[in-house]
Amino acid sequence: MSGMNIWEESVGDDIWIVGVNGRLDQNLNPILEQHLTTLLDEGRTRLVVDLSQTNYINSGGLRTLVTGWRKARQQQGNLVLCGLDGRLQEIFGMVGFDQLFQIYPNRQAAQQGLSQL
Amino acid sequence: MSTLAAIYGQTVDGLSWPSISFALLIGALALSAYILLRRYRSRQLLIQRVAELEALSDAGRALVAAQLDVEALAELIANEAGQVIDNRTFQVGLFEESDYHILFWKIRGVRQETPQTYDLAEEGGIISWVRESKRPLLVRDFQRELDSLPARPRYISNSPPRSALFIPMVSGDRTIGIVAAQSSEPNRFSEEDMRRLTILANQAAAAVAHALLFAQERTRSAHLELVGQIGLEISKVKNQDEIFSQVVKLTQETFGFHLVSIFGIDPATGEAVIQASSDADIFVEHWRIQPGIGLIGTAVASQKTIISNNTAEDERFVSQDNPLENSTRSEMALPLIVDGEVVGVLDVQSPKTGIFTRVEKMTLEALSAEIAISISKLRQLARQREQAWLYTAQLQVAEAISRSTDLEEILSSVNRLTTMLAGVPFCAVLLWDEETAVYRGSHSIGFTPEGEHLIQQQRLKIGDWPALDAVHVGQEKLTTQRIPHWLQYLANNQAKPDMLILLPVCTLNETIMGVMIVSQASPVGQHSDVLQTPGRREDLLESISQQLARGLENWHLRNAQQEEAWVNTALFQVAAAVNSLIDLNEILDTIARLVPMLVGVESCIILIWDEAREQFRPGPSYGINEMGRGLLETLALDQEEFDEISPRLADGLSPTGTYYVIQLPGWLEKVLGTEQAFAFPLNARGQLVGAMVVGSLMENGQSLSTRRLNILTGVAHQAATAVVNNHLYHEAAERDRLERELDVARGIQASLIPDGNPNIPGCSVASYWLAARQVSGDFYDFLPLRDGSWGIVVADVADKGIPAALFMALCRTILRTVAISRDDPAETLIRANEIINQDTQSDLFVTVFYAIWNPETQRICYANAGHNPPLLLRRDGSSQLLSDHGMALGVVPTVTMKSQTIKFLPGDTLLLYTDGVTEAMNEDFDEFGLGRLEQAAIKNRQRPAKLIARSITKAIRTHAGETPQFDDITLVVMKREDGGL
Repeated sequence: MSGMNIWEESVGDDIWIVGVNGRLDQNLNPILEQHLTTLLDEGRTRLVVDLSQTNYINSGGLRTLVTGWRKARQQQGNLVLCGLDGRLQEIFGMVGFDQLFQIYPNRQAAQQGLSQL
Repeated sequence: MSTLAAIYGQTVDGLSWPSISFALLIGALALSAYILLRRYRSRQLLIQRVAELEALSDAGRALVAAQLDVEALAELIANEAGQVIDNRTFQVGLFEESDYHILFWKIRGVRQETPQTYDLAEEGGIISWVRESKRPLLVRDFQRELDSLPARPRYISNSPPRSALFIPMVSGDRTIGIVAAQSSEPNRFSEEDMRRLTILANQAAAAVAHALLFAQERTRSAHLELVGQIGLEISKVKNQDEIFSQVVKLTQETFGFHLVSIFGIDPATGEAVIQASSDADIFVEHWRIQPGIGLIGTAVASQKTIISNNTAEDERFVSQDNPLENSTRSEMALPLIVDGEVVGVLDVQSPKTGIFTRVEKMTLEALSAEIAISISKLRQLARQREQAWLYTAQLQVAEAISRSTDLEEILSSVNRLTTMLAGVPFCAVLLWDEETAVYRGSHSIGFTPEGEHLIQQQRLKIGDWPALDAVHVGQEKLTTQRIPHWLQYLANNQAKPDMLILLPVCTLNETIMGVMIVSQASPVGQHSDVLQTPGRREDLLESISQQLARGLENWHLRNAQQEEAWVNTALFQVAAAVNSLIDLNEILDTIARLVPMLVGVESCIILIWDEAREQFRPGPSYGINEMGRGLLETLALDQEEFDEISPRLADGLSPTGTYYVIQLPGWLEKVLGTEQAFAFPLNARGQLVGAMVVGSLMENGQSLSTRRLNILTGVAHQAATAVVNNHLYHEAAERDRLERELDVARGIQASLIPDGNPNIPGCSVASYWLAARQVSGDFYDFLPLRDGSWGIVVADVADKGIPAALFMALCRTILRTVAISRDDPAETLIRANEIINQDTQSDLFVTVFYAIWNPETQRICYANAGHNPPLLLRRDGSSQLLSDHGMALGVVPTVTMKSQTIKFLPGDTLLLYTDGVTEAMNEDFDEFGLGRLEQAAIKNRQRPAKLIARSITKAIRTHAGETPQFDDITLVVMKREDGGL
């Protein structure tokens, strides 16, 4: 519940990592959405959402990610995910989003995947 | 005897025996006769001596026994001396300093007039020699012995004495007098006479000393008694002048001086000023004598008694040229001393020279002391009387002030009492107005009506009158010779005063309330004696000004209390009016009407701040003419324009708020019709909601009082509160409206949710639907399809609230439409996805589980678009998740998925749910989970669907406890019953 619930970090190559620390629920969703919107509005379209510190995502969280993904794609960028634990993978699988998002095991892999875009 | 024998022997040797015998006999006889004669002679002498001694002793006794005055004693001495010597020319005299007083004098048996006084100072003669040497002198013959005398006789006479005896009367070590006998015959007196007279003189000396002492004592006590009487007399007198005239009268009567006067001392000049005199002429002349001049001036300067026993030859003597003084030969001036200070002089004069002796000096000094004490007592008494009078005067002022509650009354009482008590011809008060920093003229007394009016109209700023500024700043009394023109209209044509006194009217905590102005002219009226005392009048004036300050302070306090009560009443009236109304316009209209009435201003306009347009719009107004209202209608001031006409923020003047004094633009001046306007911003909760503008006419050139500004500030606050409340009311109404709309939406949504227990062949069905907010993104649906099949839908729209509800409604309609003509669930969902993606631009998506129950085949065919996998419980208690799935709908334009088919046999139960069920959390963030769902369902799997659903919801509630529900919860239980097909 600290101020570090959502953080962002530029890792070069115009790739930005947005990390989520905690449950991605009705409390955190708007914050994540704001971060993503701000980055995307600034034209930063190569985004990695690092979910390694998240063990829960509700449908609102999924919607936030889908919206981000959609905007990134519209700007010829991409929004990829990394660090999903079993539970999250299950959820993503269940909603079919494992087919929508490119999901990497970790940040390095995600960075690499993005830089090939 | 040896001598006799020797004589015999010589005689025997020269003669014959017989002749010798005869001779012897004759000789013996002769010797015997001789002896007898000698004895007789001795005896006679002895008898004579005894008689002599007896006479002397008698004389001495007579002298010593005599209780006479000195003159009588002198006569007695002469008589007694006559017993022992020739006393036909005889003199008894006494010394007093350089004077020789002859008290008894007989020349050739003729009595001379006595006393006669001779001054021995220049040439003392034989008398002085005897006095000095204390030795008797016998002159047998002046003619023969003149040159051998120790001193020359002083007097020259036609028949000078030939012989004389001078015997000193010695008492102690002092020659107090002389006894002298003289004769025209030479050798009249013998040594024996001298011896006898000496013995007598010694006795006489003792008697004289005694008599002198006695006389002195008697005189002293007589004088002291007189002094005591005078003291007693003057102590009865209550008035200084009367004391003086009494002293003069009594002293003259008692001592018989021909002129007695008393002088006082002028404290200003130190001069001796005649106060009373036995000679009325002298008194009238207002005789003043400078210290050090004349006997009196010398007495003042030296603080000592000054005596002149021969004024004709005394250079110090200065006389008024009048008959009495011209005849004065002796004068004594005695300083009257109180506490080491000369307060006056007692002066006595006599036509005789040498009249003032030690005795007179001592007596009159005692008298002077008495007089001085009386004066001192009188002065003390006068001081006490003055003090008492001052207290009474102060009390009068205090009473007058405390009696009055009205300012005008207080001021007029004080002015009246000041002129009356302090004896000043006029008095005016200027009042300090802290608010406008101006001295305002007020009540005055002693001026012409025109002058009074002029003073009343005075408005003096700091800098207008330097003397006033000095008093204002220094808070000290000040006198000035510069009389402003408006203080020169004096009543009764009085002369313009030379000097004004300005007294600060200051409270104890040094707040200046005003300045009192009085003239410095000499006091008039009945208390002038008191007010003549240095410092008295100033004390009184200062006391009055202090009392006035206290009076004014009390008046202010009282006024402030009344004002406060009045302000509160006024504000309560406004508040009551405001509270009884709801409509803002009506409230503001009431305020606009009440303000001119309560505060006494001409007009009031309320401007309302339009947040959206950032402008002031005209609100209700009052006291504006029709043209003004017309102009006002068109008014639209933005903040900048408003600030432009509000250049001066009059802060600090009003304790409760700020307001603006507006420089009226021409048009607004026309609208308000006044010379002056104030604008009060309507601020509530830090928000500018409007402004109240009041127009006010100048009253005697005065601006609005603090009291009125306070009321206006209070009213502005009320108006602001009314506006804000109105805003809040509208906001609340809006919230209510939204709430009602949500309720409607909820109603609509609920109507979209089907009856929870549809009559589906071979199945009992129960459903539970609970929205986390008013509306939900979850929904379920039962669709009767052609050929007796039933479509069952459970869906969850991502996110919640109205958008989710709308999306849900959309999805439901699409699904119903698409499903009705399709037998394959996957196909239905794929088509629905296409439509959803075409129809919406929203980011929302929906997960949907769609199953078709075919009672004929006892199979369920289903497809899952990203929804939570349903739980299938078999009759035997085994369970299975229907986990095949595809993409949620609304995310991508094209999805692929396949339908699955399972057998659904009696005793089997299908649990459809949304994530609200499995993710329902307790306070430890522990989710209800699939496990608990499965457990609750398996335990109750043999019960009808309704009870299974109930036990599951109960388990969820038990698990969550007090933790609020975050997500919508939807549960559909479908139980395959044994019969019914």
